[in-house]
Amino acid sequence: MYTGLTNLGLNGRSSSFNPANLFVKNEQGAWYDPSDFSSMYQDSAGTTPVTAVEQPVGLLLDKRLGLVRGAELVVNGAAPVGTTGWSTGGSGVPTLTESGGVLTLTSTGVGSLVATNTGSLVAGTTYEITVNVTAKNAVMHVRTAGGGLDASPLTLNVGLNRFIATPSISGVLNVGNVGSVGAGSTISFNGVSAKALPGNHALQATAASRPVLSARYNLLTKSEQFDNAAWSVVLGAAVTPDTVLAPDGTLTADTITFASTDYRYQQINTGSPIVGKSYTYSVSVWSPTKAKICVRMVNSADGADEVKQQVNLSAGATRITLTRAFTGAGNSIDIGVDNRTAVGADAIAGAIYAWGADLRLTADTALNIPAYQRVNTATDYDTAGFPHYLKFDGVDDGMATGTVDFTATDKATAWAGVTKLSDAARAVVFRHEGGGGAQRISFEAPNSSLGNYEFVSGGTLNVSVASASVAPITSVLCGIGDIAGDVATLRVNGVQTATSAADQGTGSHANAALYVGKSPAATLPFNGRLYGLIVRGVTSNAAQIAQTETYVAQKTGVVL
Amino acid sequence: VKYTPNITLVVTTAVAVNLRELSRRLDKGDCDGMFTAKLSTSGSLPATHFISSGHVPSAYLNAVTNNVRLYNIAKAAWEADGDVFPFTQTQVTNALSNCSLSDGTFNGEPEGPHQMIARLGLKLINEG
Repeated sequence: MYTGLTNLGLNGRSSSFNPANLFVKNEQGAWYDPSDFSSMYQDSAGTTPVTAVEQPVGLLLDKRLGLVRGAELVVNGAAPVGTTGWSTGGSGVPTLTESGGVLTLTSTGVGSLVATNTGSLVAGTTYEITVNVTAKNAVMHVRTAGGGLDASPLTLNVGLNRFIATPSISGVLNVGNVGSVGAGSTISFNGVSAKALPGNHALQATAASRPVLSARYNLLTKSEQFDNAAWSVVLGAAVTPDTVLAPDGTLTADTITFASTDYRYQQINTGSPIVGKSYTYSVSVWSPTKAKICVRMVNSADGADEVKQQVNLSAGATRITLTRAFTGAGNSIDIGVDNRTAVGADAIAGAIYAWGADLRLTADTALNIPAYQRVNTATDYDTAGFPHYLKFDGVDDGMATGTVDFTATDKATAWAGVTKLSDAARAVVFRHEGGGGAQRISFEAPNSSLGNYEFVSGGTLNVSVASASVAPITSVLCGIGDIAGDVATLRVNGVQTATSAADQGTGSHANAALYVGKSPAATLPFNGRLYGLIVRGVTSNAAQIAQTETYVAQKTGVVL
Repeated sequence: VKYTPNITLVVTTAVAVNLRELSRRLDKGDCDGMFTAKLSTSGSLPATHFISSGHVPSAYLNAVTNNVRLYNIAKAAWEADGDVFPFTQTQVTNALSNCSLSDGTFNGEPEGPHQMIARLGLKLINEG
């Protein structure tokens, strides 16, 4: 009986639940949390932390074991006293000296130069490695003897170098250059550290294929700056910025003065609209003088799909909301305020106040997020209250771990918070499988039938279960698999939507990489958002399932 | 490393192999593995184009947006590896002429990779 959980709430749901509780017995699996900046790096070598939204994520740490660093493996590396623990090698016949807590490696001839520490690293284990370089005059690296860290030796720069890397082969730690550099090449360093960082961390070495951290929901820019060039005046209007207190109490509402009833004011701005999907536009408007205005949205490419609403203005701010499905191909959405009597404004020239324009997927209005998101630029926008997610582009984005050994289990439970943005093509949210595609654990959104979610569990035979869901849609998925028990169950938003008792064959799950956002063949790219992913190689009880669903729902903005 | 905002590059199959190698050489880590997602007009094999879309190192974008600059930077990258650069300026220019680059906008409006693919009359080949 699992006893690691506390704080069970009503129906087994709890807001204080920590998914690390699912792994207190060192259960195999992974927990990825895009809301935790400390678990993400822009590059796959872990040298550049993710510090803000709209940065690429090249390394996504597995939090299931708490990101606790192991013991120090480097001997006499932090503030060296003498050269104990170090030796030299290389055809450049280097010397190694210590002075003032700094080691200096210098070649006496042309060739390689290496300072080797007795600390040994194991292939396939991830380490956090630091080297502080105080000076150097040639290209220098850190690596394991005879091989690399990640795919190749890691290049050292002057200053503190920090890497999160997985050696390709086991070996002692080298600092230097194993190529050929000139006589007199030198590097001075200290602060050398190597500590294991256990976990099934996911990475993407190719920059263009990295997902992007985002919390963007409002597709507009300059949402409070109607005087900005992002907004256009079709037939003339004057904007005086920051003249009136906005609903949030800041002096950011603008005055838009219409000198004629023919004037319009609009922004053509879409982000990436999805043909055939519904969008919701909202803006706060009010006026001390005018009685009516029209707010409208329209397909700017062909003028189709227009929706407009006459607004009876008052002295207090009123938030107007319009919703419309856009049917045209290649459409972009034109939203704004319109003072033409033909579309519902009054015949009075005058001024209105406007603030806080927001255009989002109508599907996002179902999420537990604020109705308005301030957006200045594509990288500067409000994030408080907006769930963070990894944005997979559905073209080439994806990540993968090293091998994750599930061969000791034939059971699995997986949870994911996702927004499926498209049903145009089959797409993998995550997949773990053996050779030939069997022994699978995976979520697809959608599968080959499109318009659904799918969970797969399999031993020698894969069994898939799917339930209908039309994109764009945000959901909390839970998949439960048991090879010997012939169980494959899919739950969506806390409710079982599909299950199968079909034969899953025999055997266990695989010892293979876990792929996120693409298949192992680098195909079936996911077009959507991933708010969190937890994969656990054991059976989970009802309370664990419910608590984890609740946790993922909170991270996703879904109300169960 | 500084990364660009999202860009999308679509290249023809004829030059994809060389551009993959060029990308690998220009940036030993971050740009290895580009141009593997396949495109065609029908959405079925064989691929006529390949696509990469996302954030790339700023230096990479700087290199691939000018024929002469790309030739000089690529030549230097090959020579830094101890290899002879196997292409002429004309070949580099022709290769770039087989590339379509989007900085995320088209005609002043936002354009995502899927919109760019559609604008070029192409479809993703979704194998699997």
